[in-house]
Amino acid sequence: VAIAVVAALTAVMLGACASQPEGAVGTTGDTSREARVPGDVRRQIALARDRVFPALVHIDVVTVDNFGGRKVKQRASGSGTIIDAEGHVLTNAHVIDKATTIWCTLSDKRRIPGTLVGDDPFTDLAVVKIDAAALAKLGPEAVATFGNSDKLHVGDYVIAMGSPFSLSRTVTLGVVSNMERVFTRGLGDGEVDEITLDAGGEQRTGLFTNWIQHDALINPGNSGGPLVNLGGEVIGVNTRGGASMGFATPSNLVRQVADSLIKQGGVARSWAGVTFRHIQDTGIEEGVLIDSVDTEGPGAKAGLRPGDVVLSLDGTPTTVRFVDQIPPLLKRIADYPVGTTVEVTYRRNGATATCELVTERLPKERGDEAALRAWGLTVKEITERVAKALKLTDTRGVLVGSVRPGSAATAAEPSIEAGDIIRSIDGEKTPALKELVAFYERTLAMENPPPPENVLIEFDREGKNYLTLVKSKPDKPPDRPREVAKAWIGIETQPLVPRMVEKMGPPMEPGFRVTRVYTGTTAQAAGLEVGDVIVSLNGEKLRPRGIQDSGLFARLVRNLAIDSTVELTVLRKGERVPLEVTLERYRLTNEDAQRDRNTDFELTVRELTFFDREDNRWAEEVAGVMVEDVERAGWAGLGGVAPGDLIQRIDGIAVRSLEDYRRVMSEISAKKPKRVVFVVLRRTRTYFRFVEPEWGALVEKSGAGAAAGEKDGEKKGGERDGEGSAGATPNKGDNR
Amino acid sequence: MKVTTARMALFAAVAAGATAWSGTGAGAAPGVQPATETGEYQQIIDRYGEALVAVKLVLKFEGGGFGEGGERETETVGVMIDPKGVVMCSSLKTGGVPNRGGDMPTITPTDVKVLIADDAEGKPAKLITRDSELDLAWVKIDEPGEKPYVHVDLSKSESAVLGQRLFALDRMGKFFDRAPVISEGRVRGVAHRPRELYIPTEALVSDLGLPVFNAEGVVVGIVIVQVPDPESIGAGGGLFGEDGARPMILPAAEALKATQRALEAEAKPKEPKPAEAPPK
Repeated sequence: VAIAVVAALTAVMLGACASQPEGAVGTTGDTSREARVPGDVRRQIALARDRVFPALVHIDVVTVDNFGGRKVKQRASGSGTIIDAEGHVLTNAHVIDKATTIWCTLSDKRRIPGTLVGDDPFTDLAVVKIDAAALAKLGPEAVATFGNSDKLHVGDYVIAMGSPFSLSRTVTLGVVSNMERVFTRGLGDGEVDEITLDAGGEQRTGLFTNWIQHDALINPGNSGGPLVNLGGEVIGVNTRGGASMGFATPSNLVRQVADSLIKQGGVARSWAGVTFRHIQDTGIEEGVLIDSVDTEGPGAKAGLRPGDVVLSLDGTPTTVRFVDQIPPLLKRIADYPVGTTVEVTYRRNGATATCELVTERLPKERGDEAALRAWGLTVKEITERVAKALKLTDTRGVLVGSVRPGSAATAAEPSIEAGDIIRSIDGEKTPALKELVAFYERTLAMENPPPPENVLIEFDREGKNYLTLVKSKPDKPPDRPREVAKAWIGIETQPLVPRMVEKMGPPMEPGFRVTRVYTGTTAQAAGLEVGDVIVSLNGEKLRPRGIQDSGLFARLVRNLAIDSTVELTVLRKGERVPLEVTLERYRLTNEDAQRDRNTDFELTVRELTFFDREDNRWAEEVAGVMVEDVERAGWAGLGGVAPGDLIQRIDGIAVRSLEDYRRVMSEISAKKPKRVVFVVLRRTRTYFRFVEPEWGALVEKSGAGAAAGEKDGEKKGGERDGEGSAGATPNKGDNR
Repeated sequence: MKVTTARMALFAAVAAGATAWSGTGAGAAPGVQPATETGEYQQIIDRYGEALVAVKLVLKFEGGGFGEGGERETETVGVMIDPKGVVMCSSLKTGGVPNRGGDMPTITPTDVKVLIADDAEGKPAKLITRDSELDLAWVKIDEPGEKPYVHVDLSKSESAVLGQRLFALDRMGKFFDRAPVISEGRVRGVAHRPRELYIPTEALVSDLGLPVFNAEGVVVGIVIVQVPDPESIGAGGGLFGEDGARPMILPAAEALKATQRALEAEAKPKEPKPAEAPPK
C-alpha cells in the first residue's frame, strides 16, 4: 500500500528539483566505496553503463511559448535514449514541449537535429527521430533494450542515466523504493493529486502511471533519461523528482506508448467520462465508486450517476480498494479501442444493474494557441477542460491567454484582458481558434483595399458582453526623434577646482583640464592635447567651483553655434597658449543612435557611432551596424551573434549603414534562406556567424494550422512547429 | 551607486506614467486670493486656455530588461507655441530619458496625437526632436488646420525677478474633462548655474513643459526639471542630485532659443546625420 506523499513533492518536476549533495546509498556509517557498493554490483553497474551509454542522448531544444501577448523563445535541455536502429529517441514530453528546434547530442559528441515523431502528454512521453544513417556510425550497441518493469522489485538496484545541468553523461545509483507510487493530495487523505504538464494546469499527466520511486540522484536535465537495471536494460524513464526521490515511468507502459507514437504519431485512448474513487474507508466492500460523471460524456449517456459503484467491466471485477489501484483501472479503460461497447455492471442503492457504455476518444485537454502580434494578443482554443475550469457553459469562442502591455489590445477602450472570451470580430463569429486566426491572417494580408484601421471585437468578461475597437499596430515603431543638434568640441575635460590648483601651485589656474582628445576632430587639428588646462573661452575666464561644474565647459560650448570658432586659452607646461577651434556639430551618441529590432532573428542593432569607433579603435572607414541586443534563444543568438559585434556583411552583401541592414534583412525575410551568414567585427578580428533560422516557427499563421488540423495524439514528425501548441512547463529556459 | 539608483528611479517614474509632476509641495493649495485678484485667473484661462493641449502617445520600451518590449499609452499636457501646430512639452514625459546608460531601455514615442480643446480623437502628430538637457520636446501636428491655433508666443515674453507673482496654467486629466486650472506662486530664488532658472514657491503646482505667466498674463517661462549634463551626471546635479525632481522655470527667452534651434534642425532634413558628418 502506498503511503501518502506530501503535496509539495508531487508538484516537483525534474526540471524544478534542487541539486542534492552527494550521498551514499544504503550506508550504515562506513562510507568506504566497498561498503557502499559491493564489488560485484560495481562490475554490474559498469556493464550496465557500457550497454546503455552509447544509446544515451543529450537533448537541447528551442521552444516558442505564447505569453505576455507574444511569442517567446527559450532554450531547455533534457535526456533521451535511442530505442531502435531507425533512430527513434525516447524522452519526456515536457522536454520537447513547444520545441521548434530539437538537437540531439550523441554519445560520440555529434550534435544532430531531431524531429518530433509524437508526444503523449498524458504519460509525459515523447519520441524524437534522428537520422538513422548518423546512428549507424555508432554501431548496434547504440540502441538500448527495454527490460520488463513488472519484474522490478522494491529494493532492487537501479541506475539513473542522463545529462543533468547540461553536463556530459552521468550515472547515479539507487534502489527502488516503491513500485506503485501515486501522487496524493495532502497527508493520507487518499485523494489522487492531479499533476499537470504545464504551469497553466490545463494538461493532466501521469493518469495511467504507477511510478517507480527510487533514490538514484537525479537533477534538472535528467528528464527523459533512462532508469536502468543492473542488466543494462531500460526499465523506466526518469520523469519527475525532488527531495532525494526520483520517479520513473515504468518501461512496460513506456514501450506501449512509444510503439503507438512511432506507428501512429500519437496514442488513441478510450474515455468513459467518469471519475473514480477508491473504496477504502467508504464502507463499500467491492467495486469502485463513481465520484463524478461528465454531463455529456459516455458514462452519462450510458446512464451512470455519481455514487454508483462499478463492480465489473465486461465481466472483469473492478475493485479499487486503494488509491494506487486507480491508474491501472484508468489505463484499462483507456486501452479499449475508441468506440468500444463496454458492459458495465454497477450497484446503485443496493441493486445491481448493467449498462452498455460506448467509449469515446479521450479529449485533448490543452488547447492550441496562436499569437496575434499586431493586436498584442495570444489566444487559446477552449477545450472541455478549459471550459470547466473557467466555468463556461460551452467551448465556443476563443480565450485570450495574454495581452502585451501597451499593445493595441490594451490601448483599446475598453481594453482586452487575459481571460476574455472573444465571440466575434467585425461581425464575423469566432466559434473557435481557427476562425479567429483565419480572420486575423486575412486582415493582415489585405493590400487593396488596405486592412481596416480598426477591428470591432465582441468579447465576454465576467458574464458581460462588450464591444471594443482594436487598432492594428505596425511591428516596428518609427525611428526615435533625435536630440537637437548642438555645437561640440572633440575633447573630454575635468574641472580643475581651486584646491587642486592650490596644490599644483603657480602658474596653474582654475580651468578645465583636457582628459581626452578625440581623433579626427577639429580639436585635435587645432592642437589641443591631453593635459592642457583650458582657462578661458572667448576671453571669459573659466572658474569651476567643484565637481558640480564637471559639465560646465561642454555646456558653454553647446550654447554656441555649430561651425563657429572659439578662442581658447590653455595652460601648457606653464605657458599660456592661445588656440582657435572650430566647433563641430555634435556627434551622434550611442544612446541617440537609431535602432532596428528584427523580430525574426530577435536581434537589435543600432547605427555605428563615432564613439563606437573611438572605443574600439576602429578606423573611420570601418562601417556596419552595432549589435546592441540578442535574445538568448533567438536565431541570431543561437548562431553566435553577440552584443558589441559590428555586422559588416550579411550573406555576402556589405552592410555600411542601418538602411543597408534594413534592406538586406527585409530581403532575407522574403527569401527565407536556410542559412544566413553574418560577418561581424568583434574588437580587432572578424568572425563568421552561421545563423539557421527556422522560418516555419516564425510565421504567425502556423498556430492556425495546428488549430485547424491537429487532433490530439495525431501529431506527426515535422508537423509540429510550436506556434500552435499550448501550455508551459514550469522550468522554462532551463534543464528539464 | 547613487546615480544608478536615481536613474532607475527616474526610469521607474517614466515607466509608471507619472502624469502629474507637481511641485515639491505637491498638493499645496495656492492660498485664498483677494476677490480683486480672481479676475487674473480667468484672464489667463480665457487667453491661453486653448493653447494648452493634451498630447497622447504610446511609449514603446525596448531593451534594458524589456526584451521585445512593452508599450504604455500615456498623456501629458503641452503648450501650443506656434499658430501652425507646434507644441512644446516635457522631454521627460514623452519618453526622453536623459543620459541613460546600458541598463536603460530605449523608449520610442509612437502614435502621437494632439488633442485641442474638447477634441476627443486628436490630430496625428510627430515628436520631431527633443532637448533632453532642457527637458523640452517639440511635437508638430501632421496636417494643421487652416485656422491658426491659439498659442503662447514665446517671443513676447518677460523675465522674472525674485519675489514676483507667477501663474502656472495646467489642465486636469480626461476624467475631469481636461479642465484648465491655475496655480499661483512666486519666484523664491534665481539660479545662475547650470543656467538661469527661476525657482518657484511650492504653491506653484504645474506640470512639466507648461507655461508660467506674470500677473499681466505675459509668459515668463516653462516649467522643466533640470537634468544634469552627461559630463556631470556623477556630480550630484539636478534631477539625479540632492535637488531631485524639483521643478524649475526655464526663462521663456531660453525656451524660445531652444525652439528656434529645434525647428531649424527640423527644417533641414537633408542635413547629414551627425555620425556621417565629416570632421572639419
